[in-house]
Amino acid sequence: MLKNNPPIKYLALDIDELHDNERVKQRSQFLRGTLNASLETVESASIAESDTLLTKFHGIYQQDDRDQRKTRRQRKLEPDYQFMVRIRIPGGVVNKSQWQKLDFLSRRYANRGLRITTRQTIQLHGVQKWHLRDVLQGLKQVGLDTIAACGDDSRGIVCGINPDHSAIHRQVYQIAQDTSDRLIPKTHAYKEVWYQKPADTDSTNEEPVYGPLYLPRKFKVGFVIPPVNDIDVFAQDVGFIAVIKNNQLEGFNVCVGGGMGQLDSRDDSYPRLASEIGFVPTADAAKLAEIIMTIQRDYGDRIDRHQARFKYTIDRLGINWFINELTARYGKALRASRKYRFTQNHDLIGWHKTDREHWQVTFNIDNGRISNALQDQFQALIQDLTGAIRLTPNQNLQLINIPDFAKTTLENRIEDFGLSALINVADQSAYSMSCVALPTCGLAMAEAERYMPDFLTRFENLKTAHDLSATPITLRVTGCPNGCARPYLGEIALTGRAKDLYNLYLGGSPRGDRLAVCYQQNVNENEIFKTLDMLLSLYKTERLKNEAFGDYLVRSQTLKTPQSSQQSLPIQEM
Amino acid sequence: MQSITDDIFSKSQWQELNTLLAKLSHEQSLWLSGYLAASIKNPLPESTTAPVSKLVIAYGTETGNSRALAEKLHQQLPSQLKTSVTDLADLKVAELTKFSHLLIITSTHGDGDPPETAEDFYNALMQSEKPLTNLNYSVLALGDSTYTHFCVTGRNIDEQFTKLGAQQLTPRVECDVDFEEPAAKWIAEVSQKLSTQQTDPAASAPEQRLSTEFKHNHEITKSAPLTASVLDNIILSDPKSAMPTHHIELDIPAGIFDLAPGDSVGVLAENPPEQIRLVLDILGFSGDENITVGGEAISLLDGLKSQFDLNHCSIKFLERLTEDPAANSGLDKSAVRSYLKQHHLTDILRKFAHQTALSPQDLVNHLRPLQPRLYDVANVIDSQTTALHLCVKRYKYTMNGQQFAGVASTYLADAAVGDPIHIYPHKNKRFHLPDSQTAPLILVADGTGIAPFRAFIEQIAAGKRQNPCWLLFREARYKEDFLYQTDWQSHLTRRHLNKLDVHFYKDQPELTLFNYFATNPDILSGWLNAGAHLYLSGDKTFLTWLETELEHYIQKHLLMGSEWQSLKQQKRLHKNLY
Repeated sequence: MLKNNPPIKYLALDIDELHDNERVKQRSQFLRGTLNASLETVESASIAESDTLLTKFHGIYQQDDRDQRKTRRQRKLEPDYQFMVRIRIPGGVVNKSQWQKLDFLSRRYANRGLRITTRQTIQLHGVQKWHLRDVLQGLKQVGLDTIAACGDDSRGIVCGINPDHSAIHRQVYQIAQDTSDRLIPKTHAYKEVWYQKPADTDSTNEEPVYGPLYLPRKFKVGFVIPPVNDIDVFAQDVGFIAVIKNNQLEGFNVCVGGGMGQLDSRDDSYPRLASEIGFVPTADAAKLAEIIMTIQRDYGDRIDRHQARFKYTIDRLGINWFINELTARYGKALRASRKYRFTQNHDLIGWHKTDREHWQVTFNIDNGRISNALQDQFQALIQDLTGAIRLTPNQNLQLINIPDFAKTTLENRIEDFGLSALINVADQSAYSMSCVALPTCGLAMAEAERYMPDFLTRFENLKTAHDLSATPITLRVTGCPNGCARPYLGEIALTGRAKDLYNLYLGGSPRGDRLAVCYQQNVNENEIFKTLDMLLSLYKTERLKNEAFGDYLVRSQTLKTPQSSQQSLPIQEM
Repeated sequence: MQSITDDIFSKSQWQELNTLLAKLSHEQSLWLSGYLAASIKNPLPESTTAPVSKLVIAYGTETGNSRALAEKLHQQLPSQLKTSVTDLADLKVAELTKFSHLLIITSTHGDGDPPETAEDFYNALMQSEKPLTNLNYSVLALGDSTYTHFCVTGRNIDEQFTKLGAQQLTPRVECDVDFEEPAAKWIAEVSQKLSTQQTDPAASAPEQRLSTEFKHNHEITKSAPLTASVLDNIILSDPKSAMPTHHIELDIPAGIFDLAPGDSVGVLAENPPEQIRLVLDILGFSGDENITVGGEAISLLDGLKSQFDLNHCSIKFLERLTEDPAANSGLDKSAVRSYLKQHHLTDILRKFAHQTALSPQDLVNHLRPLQPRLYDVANVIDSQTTALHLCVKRYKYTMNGQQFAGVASTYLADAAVGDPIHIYPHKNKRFHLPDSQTAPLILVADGTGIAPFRAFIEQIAAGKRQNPCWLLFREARYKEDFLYQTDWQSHLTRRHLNKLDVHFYKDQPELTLFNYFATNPDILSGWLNAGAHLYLSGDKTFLTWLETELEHYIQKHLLMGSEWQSLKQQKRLHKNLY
């Protein structure tokens, strides 16, 4: 690292030297592009290629049914183009009418129900171009939108908290909302394109913070209250860990530069755990997030898109440089980090009483997919709901804000609608996540969501064979190395390489604070199970009391811990 | 120096030559060098490999890298080589014998699979046993060495070509994810090798060679049809649909047909075997019986297969079967016709055949001859074309509560690759492109009516005409039934098609195709004023209705009172309805 040279300010470079995407953003007039024309084009159900980049900033991804690609090509038809619409739900809480609208829109315009994501939101798949405006205008009726759910901007903010749990939880949740409002793009383009509002002629600079080029890549912010690390805070670009003292929210420990995505074909590509840099008082959290984002805006790599993630900016310029730059922009140094402790990164499934003497009930949703019969069951259950609905970062669904008197009725209704099995989960599926992958995700190289049920059955059988069925093990499966289900934090993770082939990662912790190690490359299901069989048998005989599988693998030195995870937090005592 | 001359001259020749040259003046030497150069009429090519007659660059790609490299290679090759670039998805193994040179750039997808779009070509090539001894080729293989089966698609293609006897032009190059440098090297090698090749003079003068072949056209008739084998039979619409639309390609010799866009071919179909069996069973015949047709003795089975209509009963036959139709069926003459319209031949045979003695010869004497069916040609047939395209909807109809299959459409839709189909040319003079090369064209198609328009626009794309085109197309569903969608997209991009409107009546039952005229009044009136020709092709009922609506609209709303009259008088209204 040439620390003596001044760091490159990519924004100061000539636009022609930057990545193609930067020019698309620049020419787009704050995300308008040629979207209106694209939506009118009749010869194709797709939109112009440059517009596909811009719709991401509007929360919309152009995809196609990859299962159909080949036969459609032979049939002289274009791919079965369709759109994934990701809603912006910072903190993941929706009220009853919002849920019902989402349910309605998914049945009318989408094709695979509702998909809860790892960033606590809902995705609709299979929306046709001709219906995009209908969907977005429908969402507007209940106060929802899709701004910045994808794209080179601050993505939907996650907040691993039931705001109804206590006053402090409510406070942290509110700060997450404020931070979201502060960080999302402000362009009027969204209203013009999707709501067909007249152009806003006043605004000359529609993006005072972002500017016309927005960010070099996506930027993820999350809030968490220990001891539950359900958002996997160390996978965030900026993570805020709440510090509570004497029943007061004092502020947050701040960690920066986490990120999962990697490319198997590049050596300079790796997942990274966020580094803790200090403590910020409550009042400054949103402001600090914005300052950190502007540093990334100015110094993130805008030539090599793969190196554009914030984690690489920090590693390229050094964490000390970053802290100095932050101090300069913030006007003061951060205080020292406070002590805290995470005990788990999975959800508490089932009924739990909150500090406010309310109830919450969490349903384990396999891979976050609510479709077919399950969608009907929830539609019925939610009809009479008095509380709210919270989507968890583990792709589960939680009903919150349930007063004591309403509990019995709700319990009965859960029973009546056949949903009890989802709240009595001691089984492995509650600790398992997958991304969507095939057939709609353009990046997927192998199956994930569609493969998970089969894999899980075989894995549960294996656990039973080793008498480990009551021991949870974090399992994550993704269709590519990009990391949507945060695989590099799993105790066991599969990342897709090709049809039926995966890289096998092992040794993450059940607290989301240690990176897994690539144990085997390009292995098929039988090879994976051969390995797991061998390791589970060692684990069963050699484990300490309550020692998790990932922790055992590291302690027993079954895994060689690579350099990148040595920066992580020390393994905590159980 | 010595080593080179050794190969060409004997030692004594070289000495003599040097002695002579030493005596020449500077002027004499100069003259001699020119004389020698001019007197050699057929200089030998520097390389001994075959001349380039047809050079194709084909790519197989998932990410676009192979395509980009193919285009780069194309630019670097000498322009006189007349190279074409194609996606492996569009290449058929059967075509390879027509190429002299093939340069393949392909990635390997995932762990050892060909790119999805190249799968068909790859699988067909791997199974092929057809020798390719006249083919010169080279392979650039892209891959990712973190996978076990690195570059295996390119490697397998290379090895298969060698096995089939093709000549390797330059050795295969395998590239990892940082492919730029080795790829550039391969491109340079291939370009260098090819720039020293001769072009085949025969390839540059195809018109001359083919003009003599055109005389065959009039010899292909209904009674002496051409046997064309099926190259491809693709279901364009939803394969689950009861009456799907097929795209059928037939192998034809280049230059044999004189067919203009808008013309059709007659197809001599055969009755489906189960239909023949049914008739034989009802009458208690085996099919081996001898009959005489047109003075020729054939078996009953062969006769029923291709010569006679097994669906429609003639009045003559009904009379023969019942002796007195009016008395036996209790109907008058016009009612007999409507009776025959509602009853299938097999129904009538079942009902009446047992009342009378019917010999096999009696049967065929009374059956109607099986009529050929006309299908519009869906591509341009010029002197180079070796495939004839048809767009065929598998037709089914119900008669008296029973479902029957249309003979010709079923025959074509069921045809497998390699099956022989008998065809002859048929002119549709009134449905040709206008004489004017610039008059605008308004093309209205319903369903398979799109076929002739595909040929029209292909003709415009060939660069011989400048007619602006507005295509209006109607089908059932956007997602499944947008016939030839990718063709229209590329014609729009290249501006060979100027405006496309589509109506899918199952998606938008509240609209009709007419709405697209009504929402574009300026274009419609402007184009008509500019002398536009209006073409209607496809379903008779729908398009006749549309024609009436349009006539009314043009007169009453566009206030172009006499326009419709002049459209007809000037023969600017063309109809192809069925």
